[in-house]
Amino acid sequence: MGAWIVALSAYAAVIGRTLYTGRRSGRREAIAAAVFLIVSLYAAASFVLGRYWPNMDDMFTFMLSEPAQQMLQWLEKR
Amino acid sequence: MREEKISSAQLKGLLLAFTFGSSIIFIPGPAIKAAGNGAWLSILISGAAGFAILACLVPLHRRYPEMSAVQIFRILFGRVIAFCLSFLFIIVLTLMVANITLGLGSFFTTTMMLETPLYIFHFFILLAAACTVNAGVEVMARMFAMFMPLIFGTIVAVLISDLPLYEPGMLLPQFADGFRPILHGAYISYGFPYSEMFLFALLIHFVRKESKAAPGKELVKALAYNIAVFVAVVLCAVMVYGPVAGERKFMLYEMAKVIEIGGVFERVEAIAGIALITGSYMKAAIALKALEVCVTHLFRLKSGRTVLFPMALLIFFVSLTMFPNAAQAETFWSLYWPMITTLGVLCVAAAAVMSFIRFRKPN
Repeated sequence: MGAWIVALSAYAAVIGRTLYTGRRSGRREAIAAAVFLIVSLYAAASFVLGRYWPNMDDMFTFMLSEPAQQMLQWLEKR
Repeated sequence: MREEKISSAQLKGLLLAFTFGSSIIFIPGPAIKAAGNGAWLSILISGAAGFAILACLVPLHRRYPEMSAVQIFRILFGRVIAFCLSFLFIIVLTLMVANITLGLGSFFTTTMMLETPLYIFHFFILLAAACTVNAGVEVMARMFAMFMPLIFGTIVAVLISDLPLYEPGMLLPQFADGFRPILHGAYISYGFPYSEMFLFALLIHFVRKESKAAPGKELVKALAYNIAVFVAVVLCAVMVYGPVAGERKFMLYEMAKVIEIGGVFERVEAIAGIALITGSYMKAAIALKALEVCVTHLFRLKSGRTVLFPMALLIFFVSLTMFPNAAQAETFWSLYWPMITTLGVLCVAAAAVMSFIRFRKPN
């Protein structure tokens, strides 16, 4: 329940502020803000539903797993 | 809108705030765990890498004093490659701010306020950081200049107060397991905080041209101070805790815990906690400012203030959902994070090399 309240109030505050400042800024700014808000919905859904979904860090973990493990093995070799 | 400008000395303050930030508490433990008694040498090696990053950053700034890394990429590599590199910056910086927030949140929930949900801390940390960035880089530079003495004072006070506990014999043997553990420690401390310095390619253009001191010199000075203090903290931590120093997660906090002067002055770890909180907040704000600059210049926005809070909201949820457990978080930032930040460093290095080749004087 707490997670829902936090997520909803955070969105309400940020959308309210963005609409307020967006009136004075241009179209590009409004689009950029909307993109960030839309992208954040994925992480927000993962948070309020308490599910672990693939995240930005997983992309790097997937790409760098092999070289990182090889390097760790080399560094830990005594 | 008025152009934001800071002096070279203020830039030095920002670099000091960024490199001390949370790393002074988080890094000594894992570095000692990896490198043992030779962790001081690890710090020196990773610090040398930090100087190499500055050696790429400063000539770029000299060549393009009014431009951020995004604008420089556009000139040197063209629009498409510049977009890809800047987009990589955005992802790395988003993860960086999320990591800093998570680090501070974990500190609270594992040491002081065990029952409070993590999201409460993350919310207020990011709110404070976003409001600071919203106030502008000039305000940030002036405000952080007031906080830095607090952090330095705390570090010095903790190190001096622990004097009766030091056992110099604990520093021996050196290099008992060869040189590889030292390199492992250097790898960890390189990732956090030295390689992260690449983000100054997005902030250095705020320095005003007519600033008295050269920004390069000031940055080198700041990094040298940072390395000296880090080495001192690592040596002192080993002298206090010996071989088990690596098991301590929040080193400066743990060192403050054992202070006992005359049976009256003890359990002052909360003061070290204040230094950690302040440091993490400053680091998060600086990284968020760099992210704002990156987004503003990449999408050619008139002002980054409209996107600032949506970005902070994205980071808030990313920080809460990044890792299912603490072990995975630790693996991520000790193993993968140095490689991820190296991608950012390579972008800056490539720009420096490209700029050197393009503008080389003919014989």
